[in-house]
Amino acid sequence: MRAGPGVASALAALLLAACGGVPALRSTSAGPGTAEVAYAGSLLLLNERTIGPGFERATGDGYQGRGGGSFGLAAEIRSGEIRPNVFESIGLAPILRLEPRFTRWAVQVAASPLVVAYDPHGPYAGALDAIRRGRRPLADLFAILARPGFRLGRTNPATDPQGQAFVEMVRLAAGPFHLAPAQRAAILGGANASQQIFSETALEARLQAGQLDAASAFRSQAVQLHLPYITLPASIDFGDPALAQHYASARLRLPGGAEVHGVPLVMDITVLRGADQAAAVAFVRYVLSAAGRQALARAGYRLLPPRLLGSRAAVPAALRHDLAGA
Amino acid sequence: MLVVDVEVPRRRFTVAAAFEVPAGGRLALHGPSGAGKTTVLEAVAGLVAPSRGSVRVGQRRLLDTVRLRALPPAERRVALVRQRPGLFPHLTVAQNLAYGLRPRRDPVARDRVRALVEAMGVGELLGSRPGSLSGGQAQRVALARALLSRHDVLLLDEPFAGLDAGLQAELLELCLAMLAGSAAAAVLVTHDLVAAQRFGERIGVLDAGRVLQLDAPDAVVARPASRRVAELVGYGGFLPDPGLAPGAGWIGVHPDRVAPGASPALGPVLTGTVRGCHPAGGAWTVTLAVSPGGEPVTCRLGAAAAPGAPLTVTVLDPPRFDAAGRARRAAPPTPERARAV
Amino acid sequence: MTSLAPSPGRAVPRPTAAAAAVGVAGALVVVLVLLAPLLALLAHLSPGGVRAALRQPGALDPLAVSLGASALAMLLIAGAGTPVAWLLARRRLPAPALWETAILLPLLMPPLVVGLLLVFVLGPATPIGVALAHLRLSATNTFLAVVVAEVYESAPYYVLQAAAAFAAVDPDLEDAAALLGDRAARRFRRVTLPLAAPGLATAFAVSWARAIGAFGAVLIIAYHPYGLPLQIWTTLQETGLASSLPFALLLLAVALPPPLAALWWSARARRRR
Repeated sequence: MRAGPGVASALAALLLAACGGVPALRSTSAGPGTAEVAYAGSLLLLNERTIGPGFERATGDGYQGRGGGSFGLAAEIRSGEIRPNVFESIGLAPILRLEPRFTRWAVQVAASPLVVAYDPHGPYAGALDAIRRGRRPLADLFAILARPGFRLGRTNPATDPQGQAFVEMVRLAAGPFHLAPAQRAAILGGANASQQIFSETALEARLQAGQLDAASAFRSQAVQLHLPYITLPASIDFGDPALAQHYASARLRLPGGAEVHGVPLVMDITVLRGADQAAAVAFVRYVLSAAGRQALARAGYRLLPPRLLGSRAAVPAALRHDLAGA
Repeated sequence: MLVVDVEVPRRRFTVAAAFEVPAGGRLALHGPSGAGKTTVLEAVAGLVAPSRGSVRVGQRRLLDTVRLRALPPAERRVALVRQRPGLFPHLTVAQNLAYGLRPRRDPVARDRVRALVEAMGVGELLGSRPGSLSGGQAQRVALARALLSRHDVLLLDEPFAGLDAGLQAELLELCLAMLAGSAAAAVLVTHDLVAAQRFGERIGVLDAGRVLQLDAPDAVVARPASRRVAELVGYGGFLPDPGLAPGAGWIGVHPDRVAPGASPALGPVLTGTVRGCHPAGGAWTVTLAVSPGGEPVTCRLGAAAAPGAPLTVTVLDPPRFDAAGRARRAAPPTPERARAV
Repeated sequence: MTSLAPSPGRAVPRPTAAAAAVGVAGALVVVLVLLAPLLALLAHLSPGGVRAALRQPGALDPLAVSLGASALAMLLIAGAGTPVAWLLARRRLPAPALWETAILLPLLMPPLVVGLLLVFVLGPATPIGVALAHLRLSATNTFLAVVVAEVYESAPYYVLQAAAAFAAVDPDLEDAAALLGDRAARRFRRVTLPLAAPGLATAFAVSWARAIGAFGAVLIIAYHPYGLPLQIWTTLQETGLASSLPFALLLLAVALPPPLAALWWSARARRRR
């Protein structure tokens, strides 16, 4: 691990605070508040270890985090069970569910591309290493995934965007990698699909415990867990917002009957109506600041130029300035 | 014939007991609390494992450590009644009584039950649960249950100790009546010497795990084998033997074996000063300081004595012990004297 | 209203009507606080909504999984746990404290941790996993995995409480039965079991509630097939609290009555002694 930039950013943040840099992130001079952040579960480590403490040091405001599935969080926010003032979602759809009551805008921050992480000691480690290094074609990956007895793990498409993305990725890969329908079905476990579906916690644990040969993962997860991973081309990894239309061509019907389609796996952030708006705005500004972006990049996210989605008029004034070019 | 010879290690000492009880015979084991009386019974019943020894009833070997044989309690045909009656609280009295019957629905057995229930006066309790019985009633049922079970040996471990004195005596008589004509060998464990004497054809005096004396009920008091036995059967004082050099021997004074006045033909005559006097039932317990030296002795007399007054008594045929506490037969009583006692 | 001063001739004053009322009110508050979640659940459910939710195709599958897995888990727990509990209670095992601690440990560990550790024990690449595969079995995302997770979450409750129930049976009574001619199995059936039954029923009841409500370890090693707790969880994540409440009601409806009945019966049995 490179320690340099982290220490530097922390020092910079301290310096900023000492030089009266706090008001730079805050629009009002009221006392310190608390940013209550609801975030997609994959952001847990980054938020709790790096961004949350960094934000507290930089602003003097408090940070309280709560991780969960993006859609589940949106449902809890809508029903009033939880009242966060910041929401970080993977994909825009959960935020759209909160419009217009809680927010009418969001900022696109970074992409969280889908990768295939694998067990470095498993029986297929050699072949997968070769694919990762580019010594073997990527098409071999799909051939290996489709082998009987290959232990693949993924998350639940019914509740988890990553679970949906993996299925959609296999569909998008069909064209460029010439996957026959039978091969696609084999990759996804066929009739025993439920055998390869795990809760997010269990998936990571199983991969680390060597009980899976490979698993779907966000690049950020693979980086944070120090697992080797195979990068997929942008056309199937949901990491490029510019390819949104192409991604949307992959469709998936959920067990509940709803149909979803592929969306860029982008981390979007917004302020939700509620208490401590100043602290909430300050948190978003911190995430968009150099320190925040550096932390994201180090955690394996692919940085995107900040882009405003939704109503510019609804964006709090203090943020609008930051997003002038977005 | 029950033949027992066992050694059971315990924390402070090893209980080592050997005795025989003929079929239909009765033995009482007497001793202080913690002497190992209960352990002996548990070894016979198979509830503790002796480190060495044997137990047999007639030709049936219940235990033989040499031959590595130890029947489980269920096969020993040994009945046990303890101080806590141990009735099954979830069963009625009738079910408790029938618990040990084999076979269960034998008409002969049913008649036996009926007869015993009548004799023991537990007829009206049959439908009750043990929880609603008085202590005496529960103990009656426990005794009846033991008598109804198939047994060659009946062990009674302080069975009536928790009850008041009158009830104890009553149940002891009932027990003896029930045992009349029984072929079982019966062993009673008690710290009550009178009960032991009433029950036992022979009495074993137990102390610190050893049988110190095994003798007839009157003999353990009249001729205790040692000073320790004398203490255990109620001797209240020991005085230098007047017939010997000081310190060479002792005579034991049992409170019940003292007569007022001087009767040298019956035993040594003591003269001393009354230290204290208090009523004991129909008699008086008198503490007498015998000069010179020697510890005070207690005796039970028919009349009160004023403290401070001089008093002369005769110790009736006292046991004599040598300096080490062993019984001496140096001056055996003449037959006439013995009869006078 | 009488004075609180002790009345003459009585050392300890009897509680006055006011004190008794305060006591009842206090107890009521405690009970209401404890029952508040249950009352909230009932308040947020409409009979129509529950019916609609439970009539969806496959909606009752989790119920079947939960009942089946819990029944099998309890069978295993009672079958293997009862003898162990008796051995513990009668101190027939060497180093009893060690055994008790070992049985207590799964109870002290968070269920999630138990689940994660079970991955290391039962995963497909472990020796046990390989052995299971030879038998065409797997403890990963299978009915068997649900049963295993439930056993780990609930067995300690049964074994330790059953041991306490056996320990409360006077050993003298077992000796008495032995001397009346009963061998071990027979006296266990005729004396030990009936006397320990109220305590065993309580143990079974608590353990059943733990088994059918098991979530932490189940989430990790048995994400499929869904039992009720996982159904509640995924429905909550998928569509939110409102649509998961009918399943919560269903879980309570099957998880609570057996233990309540057992507790009621054991209280009655104890009173009758």
